[in-house]
Amino acid sequence: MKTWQNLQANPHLFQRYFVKEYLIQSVREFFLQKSYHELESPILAEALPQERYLNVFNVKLKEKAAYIIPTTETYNKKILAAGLGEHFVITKVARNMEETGPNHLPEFTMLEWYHLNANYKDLMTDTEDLFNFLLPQIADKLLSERELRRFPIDLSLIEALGAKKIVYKENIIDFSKGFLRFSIPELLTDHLKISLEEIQDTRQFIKKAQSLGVNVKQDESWQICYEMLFAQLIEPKLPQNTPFFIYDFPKQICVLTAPKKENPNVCERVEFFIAGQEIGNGYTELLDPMLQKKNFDLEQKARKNLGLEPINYDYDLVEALKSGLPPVAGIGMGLDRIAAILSNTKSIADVNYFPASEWK
Amino acid sequence: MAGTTDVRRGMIILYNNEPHIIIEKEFYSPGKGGAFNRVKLKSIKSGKILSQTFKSGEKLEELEISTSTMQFLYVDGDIAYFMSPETFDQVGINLELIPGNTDFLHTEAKYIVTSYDGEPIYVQMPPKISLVITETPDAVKGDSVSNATKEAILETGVKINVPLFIKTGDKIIVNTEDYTYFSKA
Repeated sequence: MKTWQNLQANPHLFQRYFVKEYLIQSVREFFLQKSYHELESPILAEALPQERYLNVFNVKLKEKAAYIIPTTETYNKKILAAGLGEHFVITKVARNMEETGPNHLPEFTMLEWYHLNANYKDLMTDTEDLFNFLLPQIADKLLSERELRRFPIDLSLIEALGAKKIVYKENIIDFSKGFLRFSIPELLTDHLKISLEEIQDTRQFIKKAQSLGVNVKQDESWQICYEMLFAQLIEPKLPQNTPFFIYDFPKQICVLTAPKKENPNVCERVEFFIAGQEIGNGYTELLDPMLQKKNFDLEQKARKNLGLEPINYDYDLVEALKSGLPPVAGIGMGLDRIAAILSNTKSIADVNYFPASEWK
Repeated sequence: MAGTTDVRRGMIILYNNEPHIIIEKEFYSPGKGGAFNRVKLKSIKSGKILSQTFKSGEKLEELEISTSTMQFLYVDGDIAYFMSPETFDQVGINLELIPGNTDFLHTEAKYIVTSYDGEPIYVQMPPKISLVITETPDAVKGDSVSNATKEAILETGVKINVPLFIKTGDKIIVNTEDYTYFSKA
């Protein structure tokens, strides 16, 4: 059964889609109130930042290779170089992954914003401010719709959003207090008694991970070993009932992030989680064109070694960095995942009227 | 024994030299990272459950198993009895091996029973099942907007949320995976 047919029979399901509609409207209102500009991003790209595990949709423009954008960051940085200043973007992006699932669809709606003269810690505060604004705002919009008596809208959903305490699966998630913050070096020490310093060597790290029960092969990369270790041993221990940030990411997984001056093993990257799900990913942006080029070169080589298809190199981004960018921090967030959580919907497919997951 | 890269729920694999069944599977891919399957494995011998992460595309050793479609008969204590509609052979299966225990066991539905080495090890629910509502409050007139759904008890005893227009005695179709109302039968 297609979504439209299901909605025909079950009009009470419309409210999930309205949560997403009002989420997008409210995000716009939040940034317009802060006098941010809205960038309209293209969805086709001729070149992309080099990243080893990027699963892109390849398209053809006549005979030329092109892509559907997996993120907007290359345009955000170029427009910053142009001088637009603080801005946000809401657009569809696409990632050609091998599977769909409750948290993965090939296309999804992304929000990115760029805060000038700010770092990744400011992005955490911005995120708290944004959610403080969003939840009651969405509640108000749902209430207005309810008063029109066109669709059944659940009063308890409106009340939960208004009180900033929402029900998702078995948990009540409290948005009314400040969100928790965990640094990755601390998480590694607290949960696994390992320090980033002692796992810098890939072979030693893999040995260590294997001894902890991680199913990682001898010849894997540092990044895969880290991601498997984190997915299996740390993420399940993080709180489900409160939003939180993890920050200070290992330098090995930070292609576009500024290094942290006080600790050479980490970069100023932050991820935002709700209900144990990754919702957002942000950086103090790397502005050094030479370091950026070096990182891209490394990733390009890694893709080649992994036997992955080469991606056209975004030299234009390196040029933009050379021309100079103001200090800036930027973050991207998946709006489908947020809408699904706020409407207590298990799968992001169910906040999309026409999800690819229902294709034959 | 066959190698496969396709990880799915209900699949029986050889892991640490012992047969395990995949009871939960979640595709997981950090925004800028690789792709993985986070799974829960249950040892068929010991019943011990463990969490493991496999890299997407990693080859797993799938075991030869047999499956047969069976009819549910009855439950006695912790054991649910099923019968093959062709051979009339009966088997007793511990409720622990049945997702949702008795929630969706009904004599009119068909189940796929997986066996390894002649022993039943897993029962797959039909994705959708028709059940009669034994109890649900009457919808109050004029209240149609305040509460989109209400609770209903089905003939197997399981509780699910249904739209307001559903009445006691109605037969409805339920999604067994997530316990949601699908439609009137």
